[in-house]
Amino acid sequence: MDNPLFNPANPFVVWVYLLTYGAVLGYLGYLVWRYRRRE
Amino acid sequence: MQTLERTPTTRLDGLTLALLGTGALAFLVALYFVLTSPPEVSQGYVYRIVFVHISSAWVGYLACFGCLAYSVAYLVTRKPTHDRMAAVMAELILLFMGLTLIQGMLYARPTWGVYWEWEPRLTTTAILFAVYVGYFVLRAAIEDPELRAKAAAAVGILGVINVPISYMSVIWWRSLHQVQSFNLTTGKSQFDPAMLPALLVTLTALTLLFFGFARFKGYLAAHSARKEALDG
Repeated sequence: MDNPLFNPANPFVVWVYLLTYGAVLGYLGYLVWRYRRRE
Repeated sequence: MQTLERTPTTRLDGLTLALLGTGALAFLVALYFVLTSPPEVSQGYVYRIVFVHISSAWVGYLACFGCLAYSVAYLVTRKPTHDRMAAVMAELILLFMGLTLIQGMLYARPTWGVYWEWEPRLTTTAILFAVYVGYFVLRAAIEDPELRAKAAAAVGILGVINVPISYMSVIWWRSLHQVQSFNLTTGKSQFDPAMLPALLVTLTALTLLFFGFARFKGYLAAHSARKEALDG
């Protein structure tokens, strides 16, 4: 289909999911890093 | 006067670990439901952005009410732990409302043709975000801990006024933004039942992670405060 909105790999969707998962799991990683070096 | 509090436990409690573990697992499972959700009639697959967009906004609003509750609790009890938790909530507001704004911009470009439009929902959300940036600017500018906590609590209380305005803005004014996905005043949903699993799993995952983050960051903040007090 030519309509880019119907492309399952639409770059806007891919970017939103990469950004969201990166930010949320990255924040979790940051908290774990702070926890490990708290002493 | 600030009290020297009890030493926080040296390890994270089971509830925090459970919230983080189940939240992270559900967040990964949510991807499966997102990738198997059917296309929307006019927005095709781009509408899949709404699953994380709505969930981030919901958690951001939740954090605003958390910041309000801890700010009020601080002004009533003057316990430093409430001030710390209000700051933790404000940090989570910046994380989730910041994500909401960026997701919204990346959703607007393919559907509206522009990244940004000064329409009511976007403008009120941007103001909401700016208020909590101001919250941290204020905290950084005041050295006295008590005055800092009182001033921050005032911002934490006043800042939440923007939440119902932002939520209702799509009804109150002419808006480009679609109306609420779940109208809390009528109980109506805009979603086809086939789309609901992806939204509900994402929403549940981010809500669990929000509570896990709040408890984890609260623990770290308490630990830092204790260490600072001991170091003098």
